[in-house]
Amino acid sequence: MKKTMLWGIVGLSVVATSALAGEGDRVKAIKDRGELICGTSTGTTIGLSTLDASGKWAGLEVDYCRAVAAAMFGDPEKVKFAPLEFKNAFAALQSGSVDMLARAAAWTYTRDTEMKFDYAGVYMYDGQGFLVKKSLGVTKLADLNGASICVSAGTTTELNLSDYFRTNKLEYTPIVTNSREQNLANLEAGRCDAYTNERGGLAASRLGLSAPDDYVILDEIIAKEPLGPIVQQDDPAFRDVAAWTLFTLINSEEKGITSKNVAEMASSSENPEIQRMLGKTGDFGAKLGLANDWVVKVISSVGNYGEIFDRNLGAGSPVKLARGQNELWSKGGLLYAPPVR
Amino acid sequence: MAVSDQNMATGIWSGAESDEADAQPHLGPRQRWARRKAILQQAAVLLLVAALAVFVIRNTVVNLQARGLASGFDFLWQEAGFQMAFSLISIDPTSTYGRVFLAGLLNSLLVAALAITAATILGFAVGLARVSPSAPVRYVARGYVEIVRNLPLLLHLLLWQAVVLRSLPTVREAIGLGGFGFLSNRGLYLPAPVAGDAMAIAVAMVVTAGIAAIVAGWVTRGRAQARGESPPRFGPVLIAGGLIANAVAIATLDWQIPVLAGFDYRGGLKLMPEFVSLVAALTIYNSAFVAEIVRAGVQSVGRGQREAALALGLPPKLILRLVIVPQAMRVIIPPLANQYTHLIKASALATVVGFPDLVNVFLGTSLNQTGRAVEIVVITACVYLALSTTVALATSAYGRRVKLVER
Amino acid sequence: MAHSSVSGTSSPLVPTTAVRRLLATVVANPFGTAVCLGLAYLAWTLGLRIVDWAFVNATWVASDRAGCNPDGACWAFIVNRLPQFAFGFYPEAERWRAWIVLIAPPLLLLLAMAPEFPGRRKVLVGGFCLYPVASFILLSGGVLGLAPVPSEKWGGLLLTMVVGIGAFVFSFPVAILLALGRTSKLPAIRLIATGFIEFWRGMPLIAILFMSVIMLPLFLPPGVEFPRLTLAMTGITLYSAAYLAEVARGGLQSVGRGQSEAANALGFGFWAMQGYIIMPQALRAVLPGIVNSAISLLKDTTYVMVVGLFDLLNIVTAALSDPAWLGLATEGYVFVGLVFWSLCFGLSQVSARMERDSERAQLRAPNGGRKAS
Repeated sequence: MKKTMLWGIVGLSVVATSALAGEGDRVKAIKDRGELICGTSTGTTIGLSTLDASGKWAGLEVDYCRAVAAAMFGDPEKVKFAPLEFKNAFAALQSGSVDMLARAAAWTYTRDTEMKFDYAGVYMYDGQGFLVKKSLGVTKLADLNGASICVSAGTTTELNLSDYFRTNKLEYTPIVTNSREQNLANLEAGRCDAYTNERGGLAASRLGLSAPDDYVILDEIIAKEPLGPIVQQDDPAFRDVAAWTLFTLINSEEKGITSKNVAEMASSSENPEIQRMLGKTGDFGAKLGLANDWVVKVISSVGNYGEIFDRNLGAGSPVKLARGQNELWSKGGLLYAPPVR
Repeated sequence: MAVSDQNMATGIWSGAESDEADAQPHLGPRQRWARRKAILQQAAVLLLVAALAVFVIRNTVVNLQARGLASGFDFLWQEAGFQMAFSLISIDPTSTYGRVFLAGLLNSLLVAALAITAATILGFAVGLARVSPSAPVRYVARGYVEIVRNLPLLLHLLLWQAVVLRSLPTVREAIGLGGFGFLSNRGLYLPAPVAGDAMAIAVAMVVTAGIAAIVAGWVTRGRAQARGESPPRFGPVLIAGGLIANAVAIATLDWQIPVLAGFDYRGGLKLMPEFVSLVAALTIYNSAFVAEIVRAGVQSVGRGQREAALALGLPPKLILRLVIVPQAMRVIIPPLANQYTHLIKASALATVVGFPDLVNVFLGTSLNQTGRAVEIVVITACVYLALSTTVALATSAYGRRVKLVER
Repeated sequence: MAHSSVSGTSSPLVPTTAVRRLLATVVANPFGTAVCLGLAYLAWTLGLRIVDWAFVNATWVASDRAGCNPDGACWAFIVNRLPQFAFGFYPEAERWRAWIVLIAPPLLLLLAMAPEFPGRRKVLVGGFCLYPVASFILLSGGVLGLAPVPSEKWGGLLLTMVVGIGAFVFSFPVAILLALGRTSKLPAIRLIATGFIEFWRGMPLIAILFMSVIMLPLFLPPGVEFPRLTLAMTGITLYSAAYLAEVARGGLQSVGRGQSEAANALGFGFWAMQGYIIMPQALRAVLPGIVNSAISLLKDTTYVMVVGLFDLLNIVTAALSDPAWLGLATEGYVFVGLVFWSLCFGLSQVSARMERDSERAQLRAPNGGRKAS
């Protein structure tokens, strides 16, 4: 009796494995689950992903995840955020415990090739800079010779820092921690002399210090940091959804579609590209496996890229970061999404 | 050997017995059925475990293939490209992942070794205070134990990290320790001996003194035992000799005293605060448990033992050394070893404060950079299992020794 | 200390005896006395400063750090965040469910400390065994007309309780099976149980949590998924089961062979024998050890911080980076410390009481509590 049961379990599990083994389908898994799982920071990356006292997530990366959820389910709340320390983030994506990472991770060769990830575009063009206390009198990087520098574990900034100081024959002590708040606390306590990270992130993080004006970001940029959403390579369809959600956010800003006018645009716009985007004509949604009015859902729930940036990092936020390179190509920035055709 | 086996799981004992029973030539139908049933049951469990293993391995292979992930141990020879804030062997950005692994392992072992030593000393002191004849001393020791052991280790660690060490002054306002060492929130700076002839001589002196002490102790003990007397007390002589040898060694060394230059002190030995807080938290937390083990050990020695020794006219100090301690140690050692295993594993909390131990740099950073999850998880698991097995083997070896001595 | 015993007694002789005893101790142990006086002085000065900081100069009501007296503790931080520390992000409208889950364990503990009444043990054991399942259903909702609340919203002390007690109760049956396996007569089963126990005991809990939460999906069939909380709890449960199994094994060894032989002779089957005869004796013998395991487990739940679950310690740590309340690590961690200390100390008192009770019971037993062996 007991044995029969055992064999039953073994047999069932083998059958279950073989039945499921053929599925590599991330989109199907997400739809079956009924929500997207997005790997984010531990909730302290001001401007990108923060978790407030009531458990509400906010930030540019968070809004991007909500946009993907809105695209797939028509509901921006159908997303679960998994707070991850950076040094665990890629392992979590590889193991499949999160569907995508929107976690201030720069697009690099190794991550794209050897680690078998796919980047679905870039939502923030940034560069690696240094935040230092004004009172130290440091004006350029060479002044930091012999300094202790705070950096997050397992990041590209950690590697860039090491490369830069090595090639420039400068000495430094890395103070490696797992999160922004630890780095900031260390910087504030004088445990390290400088904190290196993306400049945009530093500008936002500075607000987490008790006296933000006592600190300055050095002008020098030691490396490019193109931040984008990362997915696994196992399902091209999901990558397409992730990429075209991002492109749509950018294209909408370019076409002047905002959360306020999207409903009106959807019904009355004469522009054929806008009509295609908003699902009035063509099958923009169907080819991605989404509802045809998915863009309307996305834009009406989180707004276009400009609105998202403004709300979290730009003029509408305490960070007051200038758009800079994160401006549309037509306005001298780097944001350039493929056309909907 | 046979004696100690008796002390192991009764299951093994009964297993051996049932084997004997099986070896008997004439088996009744009930015994035959029982025997067959045993074989079938074991086969079923083994099959189940094997099926589970196949299931897991198959899933892993399928998942790895679906994600196109590379596998293999070749990454150990690849350049890691990151630096470590603290390592016993030299690490630079061109070091391989293999070397990073080694450095992380050594850091873990260093933390564990230091914390074990300190926790043992502190724990024995507190434990003996717990059974002190003076009531106030007992209460103070009890208070210490109750406060310390009822707080989570992680909280101890964060308290040290975020409260004690972060409230230290910055490096420019470092607290001077007699002009030789300095204490700031960047760590503890101590003078370090300069490697050279002087160091070789000093090390040779200390080693010689140690060997001489051991030999002297061994010879006199042997002689005393041969005569049936209690061995002469060498403690004070040995301590004095050792102190003199060490003092001479310290004096002959060239010491490099840290000096503030630019952003930081240069020269000498620097202990980073993460290291200090980790060792401090591990020491204090575990010392409370060691203290309780020591107390239980001492109390396990019956009153009669002490009374009998008194009746025999042994002086109180000798009673402690010859009667109480040897018997208490037999009770103390097994749980103490358990506590050591706990401590070794708990040193992995280094990852929370950012000290580059094995789990932090290997299971953390290296795994994130290379994506070789399965390999790295397997290597890390093997290391920790090897460490705990080593402690267990050493304990059972000790257990065998004291058992034989007793009989 | 001697004077404290005075008030409780009416005999006029006692004070002099106590004083004399104290004097005798002082004379007999001058070194210890000196140490004590030194410590007492230290405690006095330190105590005064602590009282000043924690009470005299403390601020209880303020809206941010700037509103706090810098010379004293800023308890306003804790007061403001208390609901979050207690319940995490559990929706306010549904907090009553969290309240029940939070209040039940202390009530059960009080019951454990209460004087003996018929069926007390049954209520206790039943309460703790039902607790994890009941609290899971109550908290997650979706049945009985309760609104569903995803486990991501659980946090703070609530999560600590659910993880700690849940993992402990679930680890119990696993531990008993493992202990039976390790003491089994069948070598294959013994080997597997031993290997399993030693594996989980040999691994750091941090590594176990990392593997179970971050890496486990790699070992599962594609499409099979569990919430992070479940994964973390599975890891902690197996870890705890391995330790508990060793405690249970100690208990099994304390039950004499005669017991199982007698049971066999009476025709008991294996499971009936374990369930009715061996296990009740074995577990009673190691009851304090079991409670100690529970205490360690409760403290170990703080490790879920490394996999991004917001238990009490992690939620306080996260709140420390709130720009409005920067630099209050001391207050935050002292608060966490007080909560954990009360819980663990309370449990250890229960354990001590059980030890006393069983000693008394053994003294009352007809054979003087002698164990057959």
